Amino acid sequence: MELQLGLALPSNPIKGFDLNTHFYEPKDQLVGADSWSYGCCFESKNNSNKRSFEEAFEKTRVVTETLPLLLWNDRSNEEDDRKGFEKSFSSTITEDEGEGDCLVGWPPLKSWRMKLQHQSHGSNSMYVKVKMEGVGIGRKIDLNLHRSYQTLTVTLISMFEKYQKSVRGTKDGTQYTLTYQDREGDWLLAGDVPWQTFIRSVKRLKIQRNNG
Amino acid sequence: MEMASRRKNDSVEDEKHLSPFPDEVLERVLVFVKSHRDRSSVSLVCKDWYSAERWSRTHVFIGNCYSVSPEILVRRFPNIRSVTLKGKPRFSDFNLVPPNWGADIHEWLAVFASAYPFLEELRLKRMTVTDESLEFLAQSFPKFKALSLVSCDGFSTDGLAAIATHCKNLSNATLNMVYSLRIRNLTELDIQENDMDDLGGRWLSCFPEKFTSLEILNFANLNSEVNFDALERLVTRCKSLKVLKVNRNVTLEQLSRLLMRVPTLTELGTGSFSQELTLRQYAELENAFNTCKNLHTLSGLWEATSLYLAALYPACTNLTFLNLSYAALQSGELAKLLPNCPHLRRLWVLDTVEDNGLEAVGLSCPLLEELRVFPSDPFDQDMILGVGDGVTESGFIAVSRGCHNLRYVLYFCRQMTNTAVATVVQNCPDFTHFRLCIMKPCQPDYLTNEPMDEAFGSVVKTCTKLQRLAVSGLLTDLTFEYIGRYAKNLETLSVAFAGSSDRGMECVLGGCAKLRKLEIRDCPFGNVALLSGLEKYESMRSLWMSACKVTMNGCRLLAREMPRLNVEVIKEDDSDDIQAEKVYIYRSVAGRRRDAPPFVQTL
Repeated sequence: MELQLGLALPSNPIKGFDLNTHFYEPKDQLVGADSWSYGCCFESKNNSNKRSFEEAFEKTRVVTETLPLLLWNDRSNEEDDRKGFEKSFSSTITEDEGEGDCLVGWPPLKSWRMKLQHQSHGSNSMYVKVKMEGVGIGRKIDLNLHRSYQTLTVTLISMFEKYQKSVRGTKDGTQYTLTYQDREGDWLLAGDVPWQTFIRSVKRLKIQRNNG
Repeated sequence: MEMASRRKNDSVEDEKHLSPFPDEVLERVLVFVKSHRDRSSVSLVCKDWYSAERWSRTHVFIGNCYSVSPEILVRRFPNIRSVTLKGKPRFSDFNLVPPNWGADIHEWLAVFASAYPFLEELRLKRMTVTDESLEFLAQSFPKFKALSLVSCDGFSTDGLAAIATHCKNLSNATLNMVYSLRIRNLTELDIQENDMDDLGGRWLSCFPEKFTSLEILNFANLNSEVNFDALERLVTRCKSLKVLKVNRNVTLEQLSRLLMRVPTLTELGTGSFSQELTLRQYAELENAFNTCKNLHTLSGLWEATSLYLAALYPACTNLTFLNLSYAALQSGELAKLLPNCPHLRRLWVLDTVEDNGLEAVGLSCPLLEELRVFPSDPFDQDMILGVGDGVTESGFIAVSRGCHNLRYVLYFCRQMTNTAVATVVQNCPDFTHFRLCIMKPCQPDYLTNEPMDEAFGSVVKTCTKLQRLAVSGLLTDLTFEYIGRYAKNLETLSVAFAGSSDRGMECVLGGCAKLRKLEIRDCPFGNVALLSGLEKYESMRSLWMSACKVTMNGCRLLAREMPRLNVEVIKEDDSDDIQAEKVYIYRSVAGRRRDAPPFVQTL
């Protein structure tokens, strides 16, 4: 099955789509398939096999619970195996930190150190990490080799195509969104800003599943 | 040295002189006892010794500003010249304490102004200091010499200007006043543009032309531009300047000029280390560093590139402390730099140097005692299999193989194994400070998928001198059993996202006899654990617990049973009345805080 990765179309500004609701209020995602046409969507060839809402919701809920603990790798499967291990920490997450990736005061670094921007100098390459939701292994991509979102997405598709089948819980019809984390730690949709602006602020990429 | 008059009244009634010497002799002897812990011991021997000690003490260290009140302090110690005060709980560095929490220096200054008019030195950490306080300080203490502000907030460069300006009002005879002005690690420095010139460095220009006594000047973490001409003039006329740490706005070319003026520097913090230099400028830079033969500490190096690092080499011969934590160096650059620093004892780097860089450390720095590796990308906490990012367990092992004198480590990484840590401490059994931060919470040993219990078990079993420990990774109660059983010299413990039950915290409280500071966040420790330490907290400085399972009732019970403890709950807006989200418990002879803001409830 072909993996397609769509981006935000400049002519269709995305209103009200924000990563918070994507993960914390999945109910709001109960809209028609059209909602995903305005950007950042995978359209698979078999459109008719979209997952039911409950299925999607269930998955999202599970993800929500584990999100505060940043369990993006395969080990999240083995949570249950850890004997007697309570994973119900009430961590201090602020909801407006995107998808809950950022815990308050963690890692334990003084605020001014967190804000330091370190330019990697000398090289002509600009490597950023790319992770795909549900896939334990990430990749690195040199953004300097790209001049536009189009070439970027083509490369990402070829990198991650092979994982699509192994992604836990994926069925045909799963759609994906390309997001990135900027220098301030915020998670944003790729494609919203011009490429040059994007290049200056992107720190890492994530390919997320749409549940809808 | 003058003492305020006292003797006659004191021990007239007390006929039992355990001490065979007259008090004057005892005091002369006690002058040589500097450590505040020794002084505390001295004061407990008998009444005479208590009295002699309190009259002869000139420096006081207060680890928690709320453990005592200014009034109590001045009543006991009449002759203080130097005060060190620490305020907020350490987790305030990580934004876990809301603003306006307290620890304001002002009420202390007000009392000092009348009790210690000859105060010379003030060293503050995590205190709130307003410009008004700085101005008050400048005006109230004619002999004031040294100000150190670390991780403080609440003031601006206007306040600094007040300190610098006050020298102007003094007569010639007393101009040797402010010799040390050191400001580090500011939070929220608010630069007010109103009365300042465009460069915002007015405060530096406030040092009068006749002012020559500066020995230490450190404004490395101040963000404002300073007037370079004023800086150059200041540096030129202060012939005793030993420490100069400038901020990032000072360019390489400017640095060259400064260095030519101060060949006697022992500590240098450069400004920005990347600038397009002409050949001539580069030669000048090399020349400038060539004159710095006395440097033992070097820091700054913002944006340092390999282009100019070589200019540094001649200045590195006598370096004992190299702070590269603002420079994203690669392994090769570090490997070339280190052999020029044969006497290095302390090294701070960014994880951009990677494992290869740490290998170079192991090879080139046999005398190393302290290593700190900071993350260049703290938001990225995920480990990526096969893509060793930053530093890993290999780098840690590599350092330990070559640096057997390691005593202090702070290590931020994304992956670690139990075996690696065991190997490290086998190679370096003398650790006194072991702070390991596996950046993703609850991450297990990535090879075996087991908890990291055995790692910290090996640390506490092997490193018998361990005083400070910070744990991370996936940890069960077993880690804390180990700590309680083996870490008999442990004084400070930091725990986050760890433990399985109350038992963990109970083990620590029950086993670590010397524990003074315990800070815990996001752990499943509840009231049973909290109350198991009932008897213990009075022998500790403080306990912090946030996002754990303690409840208001548990805290109330503790407060009721232990009246000499302050049990404070920080209540943020949406918290219910059952859970105690953030609890700060500390011993105090001053009773409850008088200045607690509305969101701090003392039970």
